[in-house]
Amino acid sequence: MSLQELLQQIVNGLVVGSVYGLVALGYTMVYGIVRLINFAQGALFEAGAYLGVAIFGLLGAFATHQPLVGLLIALVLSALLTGGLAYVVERVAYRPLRNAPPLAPLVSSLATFFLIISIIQVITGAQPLNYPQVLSVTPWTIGPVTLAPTSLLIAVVAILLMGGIHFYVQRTKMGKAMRAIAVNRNAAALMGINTTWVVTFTFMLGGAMAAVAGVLFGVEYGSVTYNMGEFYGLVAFTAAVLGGIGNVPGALVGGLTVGVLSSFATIFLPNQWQEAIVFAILILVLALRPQGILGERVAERA
Amino acid sequence: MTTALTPESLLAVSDVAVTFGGVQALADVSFNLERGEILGIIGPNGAGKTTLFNVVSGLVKDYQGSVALGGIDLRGKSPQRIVGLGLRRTFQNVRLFKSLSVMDTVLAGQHLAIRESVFDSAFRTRRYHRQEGIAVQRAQQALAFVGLGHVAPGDMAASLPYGGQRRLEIARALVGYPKVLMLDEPAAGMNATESRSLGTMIRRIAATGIGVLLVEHDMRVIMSVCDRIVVLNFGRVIAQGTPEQIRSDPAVVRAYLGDEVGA
Amino acid sequence: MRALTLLRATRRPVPSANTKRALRVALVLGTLGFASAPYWLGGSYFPDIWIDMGLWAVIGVGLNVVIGFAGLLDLGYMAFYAIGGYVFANAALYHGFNLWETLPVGAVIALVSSAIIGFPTLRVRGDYLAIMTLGFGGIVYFAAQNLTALTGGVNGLYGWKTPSLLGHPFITPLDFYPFVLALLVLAALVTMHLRTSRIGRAWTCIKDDEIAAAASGIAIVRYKLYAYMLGSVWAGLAGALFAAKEALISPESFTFDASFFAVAIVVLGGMGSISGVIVGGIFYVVIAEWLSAYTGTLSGVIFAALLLLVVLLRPQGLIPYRPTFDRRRLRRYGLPEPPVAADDYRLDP
Repeated sequence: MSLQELLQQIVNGLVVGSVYGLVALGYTMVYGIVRLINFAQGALFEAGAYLGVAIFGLLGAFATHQPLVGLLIALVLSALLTGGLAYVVERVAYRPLRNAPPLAPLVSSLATFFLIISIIQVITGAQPLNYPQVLSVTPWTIGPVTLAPTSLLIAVVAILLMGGIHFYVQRTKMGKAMRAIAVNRNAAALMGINTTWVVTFTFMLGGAMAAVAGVLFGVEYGSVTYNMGEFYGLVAFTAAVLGGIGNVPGALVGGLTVGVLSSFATIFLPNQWQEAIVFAILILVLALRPQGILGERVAERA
Repeated sequence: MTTALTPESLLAVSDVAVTFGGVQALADVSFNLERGEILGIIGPNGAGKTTLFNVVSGLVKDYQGSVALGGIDLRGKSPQRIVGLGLRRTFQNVRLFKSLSVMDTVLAGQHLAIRESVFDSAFRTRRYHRQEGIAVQRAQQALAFVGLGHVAPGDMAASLPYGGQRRLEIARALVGYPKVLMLDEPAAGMNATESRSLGTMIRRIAATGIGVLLVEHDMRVIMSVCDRIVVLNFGRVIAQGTPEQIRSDPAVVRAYLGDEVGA
Repeated sequence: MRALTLLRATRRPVPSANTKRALRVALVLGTLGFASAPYWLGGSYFPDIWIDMGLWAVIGVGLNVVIGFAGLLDLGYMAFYAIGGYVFANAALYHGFNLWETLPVGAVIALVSSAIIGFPTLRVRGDYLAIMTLGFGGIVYFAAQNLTALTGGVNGLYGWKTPSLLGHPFITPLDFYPFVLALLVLAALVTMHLRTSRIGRAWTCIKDDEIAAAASGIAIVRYKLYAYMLGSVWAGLAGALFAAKEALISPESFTFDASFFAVAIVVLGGMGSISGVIVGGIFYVVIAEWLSAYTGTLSGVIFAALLLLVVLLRPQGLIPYRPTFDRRRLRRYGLPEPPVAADDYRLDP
């Protein structure tokens, strides 16, 4: 295998990894503040991608003439709608179980995940749907590697958004409230923080990011499938764990790492095994370094 | 305040120190506990009593100094290993199993004593029946001992009134036939009559040879029950001695007891 | 909301002894009638469905040990079903083993593989187990698709010699049915026994409060591992029977969806409740069969929605397990005259 091929795979891996990072953000933020593995995140990613298809369909010819504006509309609308869906999920499937035994919210988020992807499957008849070609297909050649303009756009949007979220969590009042709840929910409530709303908002933010990732993913690969939320949900969770769950920059680091590693797998492993690498990473990380790359060792809560 | 580690002591705590993120929770804490002795640990809130319990029972692993049970160093041992060596405890906020009945709770306390394999359990061998029989009878004894002899064994542990739950927790600990029993505020939430009978019960426990470590806020219980008392303040032992000595120790009176004992 | 609250468990008036006895007789007769239905309904359709029900009930009973008894969420349970199935298929196809010789091997391999996957995870965090098992289920699925030498790839394995017992070959579903039934009865009995024994109490303690469990001397990680292993072994056995009855094994049967339905069966039926999860398994097959005329995904929607409703409104499940210590056990094991007063206590009886 040539050096050029290796570089090419790194670039491809970084592009798709930035999308994983966006989805991972939702897992990591929700886990950070309420200690819940929100399985629904994978389904929100899928829902966002399918909403993107619907929005592009409604835009029709407009999107072909003004592809960038069309994409922007799709991203924003899908993010808003999916954020709303995340709100419903939190209200219905998580909030009533706040004081239930820990298994209950885990099962309900699993059920929500399955409900959303099954509904999508029933509506679309399990057919893959096509995404419109947004930007020109002619890839640029930069030195030894080629890069499609769309891919660059995707990586830039994803990384900017993650930077924005990091800034938001570190610098704003809402971000400070999130961090306070992550440390101690009761104490945060006593300090006058509306913890219920902050938790809801975190779910919504995670859902919106997943939707953006879903649309970007659709644009990058040209089509979406009814079970993408299952596999890519797990990929993104792997990214979140690898980066250190609960850690916002960790989501980006984890996403890029998983992206590059699975991209390498396309060279080293036979076709069918490429997906298995993600499971292997997940299991190795959980077994060897469960706190992830950037995470601190957390003891099991009493 | 350092006490020499006497090898024959049942429980020897020497020079234990714990820091939580820069806060000195315990410093230079040393004391011994002998067989059949009731040692009270008192001190204002935040003095480090519960931390001390957590160190001894293995929940806090990061500490300096040493803790030895029957001459065996407890450092690095998991909580359940320490239980195996003969130490049992109750919790300040009662921790019962919410989906076990009263009887099953006390049977669960005999986990280490019941000798049945998975095969015995799965196929109900003769050994299973024998072991269950012994365990149930021991549980009945323990329940009677803590004053729950009249409770229906099939009732859920969580359905007992608060005082009953505290007693059940003691039964669960006691039925493991510990060498050392640590009671974390057993009289909390009890009225005067209840705490008096609790005091009698603790005396009876010690009379069987068990060393009792008692953290308690109720000074009547402490003063009437304990053989010796260790007073903690800000993580340090400020006094150690018999109830009479503690009662008249000026440092204690100043730091903590004041009106309560003077009254 | 009022209609929904009716779904919650309510305290019913205590029925008289006679009513109770009559109900019990009716229940036993009903169960026997239902279990023997394939014999009097005849044909091959009904026996087939009943085998499916039996196998899913076994899956429910096994997974119930992990989720219901020990409180661990396992999202890759069907991996052990796959392992059992492929072990049988390989043994039958390449080594001429009969089903009965393979069952113990499948069980042992399910035990060993669950120990291998369970050990590193159970050490870490409770909720990570869910993800780890999800990953494990995924790997086994990929392996089933791609380790062609062992699994036959997407086409699966088939074409082994028909299993037989004492010269009697097993061809029709009705031939297999008694063995499925026997496995279900065995699984139900064994797990029921485990529940009210030292190990079962340890699981309940861990599920309720790990710190208090450790304070009673229970080795948390070890008992979680036991739960995981003693749950998985039933899937291994059921998988082998499934492969034998189908005369074919292929990856389709072990998707994530299947593991999800297994979890749904346990939670819907009632975590910890053996009769509950058996009814859950039967219910699942009925719904899936009823909807198979439509698209298979509709049952996904229905089960996910039902699961959500149950978790929110009736977390104890349709047939809840009511833990107690019944009089019979007390009479059998207890002292003839249990002490009431503290003075009756002896330290070492």
